[in-house]
Amino acid sequence: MSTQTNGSQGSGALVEVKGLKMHFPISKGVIFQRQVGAIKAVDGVTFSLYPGETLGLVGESGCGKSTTGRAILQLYRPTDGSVVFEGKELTEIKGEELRKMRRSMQMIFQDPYASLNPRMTVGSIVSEPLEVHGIGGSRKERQKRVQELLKTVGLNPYFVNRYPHEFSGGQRQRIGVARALAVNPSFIVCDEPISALDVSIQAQIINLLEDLQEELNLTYLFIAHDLSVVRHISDRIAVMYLGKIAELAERDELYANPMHPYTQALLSAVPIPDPVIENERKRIILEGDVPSPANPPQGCNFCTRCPRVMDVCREKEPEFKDHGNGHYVACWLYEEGHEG
Amino acid sequence: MSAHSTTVIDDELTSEFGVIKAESPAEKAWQRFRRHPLALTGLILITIILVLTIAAPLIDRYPPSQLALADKFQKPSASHWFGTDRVGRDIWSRTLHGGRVSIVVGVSAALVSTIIGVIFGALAGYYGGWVDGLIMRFTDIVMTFPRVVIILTVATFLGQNILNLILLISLFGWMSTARLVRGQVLSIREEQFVQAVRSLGAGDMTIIFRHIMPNVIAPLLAAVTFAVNEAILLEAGLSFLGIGVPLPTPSWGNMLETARSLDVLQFGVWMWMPPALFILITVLSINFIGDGLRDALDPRHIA
Repeated sequence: MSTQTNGSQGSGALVEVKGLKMHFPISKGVIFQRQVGAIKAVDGVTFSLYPGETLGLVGESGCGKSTTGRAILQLYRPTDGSVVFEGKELTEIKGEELRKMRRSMQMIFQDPYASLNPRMTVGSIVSEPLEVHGIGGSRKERQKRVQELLKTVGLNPYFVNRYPHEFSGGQRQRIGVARALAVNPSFIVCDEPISALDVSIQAQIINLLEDLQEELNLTYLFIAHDLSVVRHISDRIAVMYLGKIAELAERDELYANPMHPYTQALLSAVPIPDPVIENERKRIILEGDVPSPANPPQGCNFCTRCPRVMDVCREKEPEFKDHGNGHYVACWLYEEGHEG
Repeated sequence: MSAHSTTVIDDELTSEFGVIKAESPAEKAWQRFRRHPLALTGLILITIILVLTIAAPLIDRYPPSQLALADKFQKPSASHWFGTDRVGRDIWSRTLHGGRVSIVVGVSAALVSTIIGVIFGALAGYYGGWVDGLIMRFTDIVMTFPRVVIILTVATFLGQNILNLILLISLFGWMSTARLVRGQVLSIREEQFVQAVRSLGAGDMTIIFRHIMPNVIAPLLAAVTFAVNEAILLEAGLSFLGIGVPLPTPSWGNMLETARSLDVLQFGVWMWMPPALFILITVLSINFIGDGLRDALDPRHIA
């Protein structure tokens, strides 16, 4: 794993996301539809990914993690903001050009049962990206490549003629990984790739992903809600809350020195496998529910639940900025003149 | 690969329990269909009718349109199994040949209307938005047309022949298929495997025809059988009104037309009963088959 940690928006980034917004319209009316509001699933997200690194994206359900991943890959067209990948502005290209770009950016899905077409054999599922992009040579050469891929992800290459329903969850996720690898991508969005799996299988898939990263110099955006998994696999971690990034820092820095009250609350919820320390552990219990993304609170979006909320938090939105060593936080507590 | 062990799952493990032959989805459906007694009866009856009508030129005893005024209005006998009509044509022969026409019209009209419905439904469901709005509103409008009256009017303009009849029946019969397909596509479009294929970089046509349509086939197949029925009945109705298949070509519908005269209805039962029975059996059988197919192909019906 590489340890590129500089947080500056340098030119070395593989993926640069700036001010990304994904709003889903709420419309009313049968024939003449008019927009009456918007679900602000992602509301201004900025970060970069460097070649060979893993950026963990954590947050509770519905905070916009998966939507961020999909908006980066242009599976949803972002409402606003920019996504630069390999020097190309993805939000501006479409059609054939975008289709060709998809070769370098792939996705691994959460549900290994739903993400494979039940009517296709494993062989045709894995060779599909090759066919779609017209690469891999003849049928026979493609077949060979598919078998190599299956071997790479730890599956028996003779499984090509079987159907997805004949496999276990972990095996199916391996098929999903093989499919994503088929076109030699440089960037993979892993959308909660292990949360649907049995705990004993989770480690296998995580190890597989790490091995592949090392071998093929892949860059991952690793979306998850399991903090220990993210800690294990990530180089840097971004914490999302209600469509925005609350904090982004290098892994060890984030765990040692969480700055945002939300991050602190999240980390305090992780159990420690040592009964003595575990007894000492103080949990920060957040009150209330996550506000609706259709109607987020004014000011800082965490102000309704923050244990250290101040007046300014309810009025103005804090800026997401670097507080040294690439430790980004969006919180008024660390702004001059506002220290609580 | 590095220190981590990425376990190779061995084939031996799975074959330990002997070779378990996985049934394909089609095999499973056939198993369920076979256990549906009405559907099986329907299948047998429709096969008999198909064999009879296909073999019509071999087993008819007179040409279907041969006039024999000397033999007119005869009751069923050894020489004319089903009797003769008012101009001496053999009813047995006309029923078989009429079946050919009725079934061809029914099946072709159902196919054409299914194709139209699938195209409209797939486009509306897949693209959504204004495409969907436009197509579905158009569908609603066509649905409000009084079908028989319009076909009656248009047929007078275009001229009365079998091809026009097929076209007209299908042009006014695709709407329910379009709605069905749209609904299915709408839900399958959101499935993760479709999103996965899109993220691979597949084009719209690959997604629609390779990934979505195979999953729509099951309900569609059942719908097609009902469409065949509807077309057969509509053909019969139109021919009965005298705007369907033009005479002297026999069809079940225009054979029934003779029953419009009261004395035939009362005293010439043999003249209209055979086509009526054949229509009844055909339509019932197809209905049963459709029911069976729907149950066999619907995964929720697995008991």
